[in-house]
Amino acid sequence: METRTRDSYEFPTDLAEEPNARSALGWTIIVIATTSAVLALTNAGAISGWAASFDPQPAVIAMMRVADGWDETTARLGLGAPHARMHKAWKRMEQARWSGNRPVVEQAALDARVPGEDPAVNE
Amino acid sequence: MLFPTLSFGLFFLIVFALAWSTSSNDWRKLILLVASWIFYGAWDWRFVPLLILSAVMNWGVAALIVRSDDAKRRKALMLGGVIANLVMLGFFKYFDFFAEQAGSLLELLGVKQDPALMQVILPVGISFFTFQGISYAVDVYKGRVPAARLLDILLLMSFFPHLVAGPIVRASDLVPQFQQKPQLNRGMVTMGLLLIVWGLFKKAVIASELATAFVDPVFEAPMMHGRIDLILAAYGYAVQIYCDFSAYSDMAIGIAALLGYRFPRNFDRPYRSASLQEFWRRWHISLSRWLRDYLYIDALGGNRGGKTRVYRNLMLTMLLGGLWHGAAWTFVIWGGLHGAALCVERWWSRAALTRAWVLPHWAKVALTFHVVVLGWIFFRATSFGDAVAYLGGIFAPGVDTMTVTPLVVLLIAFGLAIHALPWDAMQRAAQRLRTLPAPAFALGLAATMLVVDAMRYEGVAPFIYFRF
Repeated sequence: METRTRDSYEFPTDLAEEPNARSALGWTIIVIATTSAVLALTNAGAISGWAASFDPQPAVIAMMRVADGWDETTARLGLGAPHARMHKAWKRMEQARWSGNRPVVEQAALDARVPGEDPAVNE
Repeated sequence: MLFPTLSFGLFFLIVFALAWSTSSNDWRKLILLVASWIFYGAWDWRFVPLLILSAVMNWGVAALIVRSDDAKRRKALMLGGVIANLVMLGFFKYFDFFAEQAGSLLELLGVKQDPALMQVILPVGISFFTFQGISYAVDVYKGRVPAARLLDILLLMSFFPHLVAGPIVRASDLVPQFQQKPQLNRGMVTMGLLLIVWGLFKKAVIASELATAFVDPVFEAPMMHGRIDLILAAYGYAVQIYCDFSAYSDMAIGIAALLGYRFPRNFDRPYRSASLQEFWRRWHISLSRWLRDYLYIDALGGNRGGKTRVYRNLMLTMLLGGLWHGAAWTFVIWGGLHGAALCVERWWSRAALTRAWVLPHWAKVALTFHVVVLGWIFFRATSFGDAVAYLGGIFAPGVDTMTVTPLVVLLIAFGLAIHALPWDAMQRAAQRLRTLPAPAFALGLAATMLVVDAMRYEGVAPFIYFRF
């Protein structure tokens, strides 16, 4: 807060001049369409999960049926396997504890116990 | 409609297709305007008229200012516009808080009266769009920007990428861009997509995992945790709030870029700051610049008027900056702590002690970081008492039980380590990637998004800054 200068805001999306710069709309459309298609194939579970998050009305139920069908089809083809494997590995990392430490929930339950209370009584 | 959701993804695909399908710039702006109102209405339709009213009011004030030749009238119009914005903000954000404080004060004086609370619902993003409105009215009055068309001001204040949590994009940055049809280039698109994916990773993986698995439980019951947990949860919150808020800004900048517009940087590796002053040049840059330009300099006089006045101005700016974040004493204390630290820093840098006592750079960074973390404890705690209890727990002797997991420690370390990256690391990556054929870039992008999705926490918590 020292000096008063017109801010030379830095715009992160301004890159150095491109050689042979031309409109990149076509390139962008291909990137977005391909990315969406690959994700729809490899992460169909996200679509069915999203469809299931709405209140069940006739249109939503129809959408859920399509989404679930798509999820089953991609699963049959094994397309969802990489995502499932990575998710499982991540869950294992979440569950990992320092040696000798209990999982967080268990530890919190122990911490919450009234001092002097015999755990065996509650079990 | 949160950015990292499929609902927003579909919404954006439709808006992208419609915006680029029209050759008329005015139609394009109308499409973006309606899309922004739909985006805002997804939270609460009742506040869309408030957003429109705020934009029309600021446009009207600016139009009257430029039409008037009388200096006094111009000033009165500008002040009227600022006050109207503040009244709107004050009513929705602070009415219940001040009513409650007045009730407590009356009770202290022996007058028993229930405070007239109205349970006012806070319109999401009101702090951001009212500040944008104020800056437009003041800039037109000061001749920094010309008055703009109603359509441009409506879009400036409603534009969905920045609407609910910033960055606070000023008229001088965005209105000139609205006045011509934007052009896309590969660099802009590549950088925009990288920012979106990076933001998604910071929010959905780092911030959500830290919050849910560790920081929230520790802050909710600090007395049930040992010192190591309390210290690590304070560091964890520092990483969480950075990853949460900077993720929103990154995604906002990236989404705007895909629509052809440039937003300014809002974060620049804040935890590598060697002073509080530097921290505020790197943290929520659009807000700190707003506070500096419109409050510290325009309203309070900045560095003019002697030492005492400068310290007073610094304190007031930071206290009000704290209050801007929310109607609670914890935010005021947070602002006060930053203000006091800035004053001490200023005094220190001008005192003879500086020459005798020179800290190495790493020590200054560590000291600044810990002052910031101390502030975050007040910022995160639900009350002053909770914050004090939290701090007391850190220094209290006792057996250290530890609930922190290896993954949480890894994420905290990672969230701090990214501050060591060069400032243009992403730009350099984007410069290389923009030369790739579209399908190759798309496959890499999809693979990265798949990895991020596999790591993300189930469900998406709202961004922290939505409630401000």
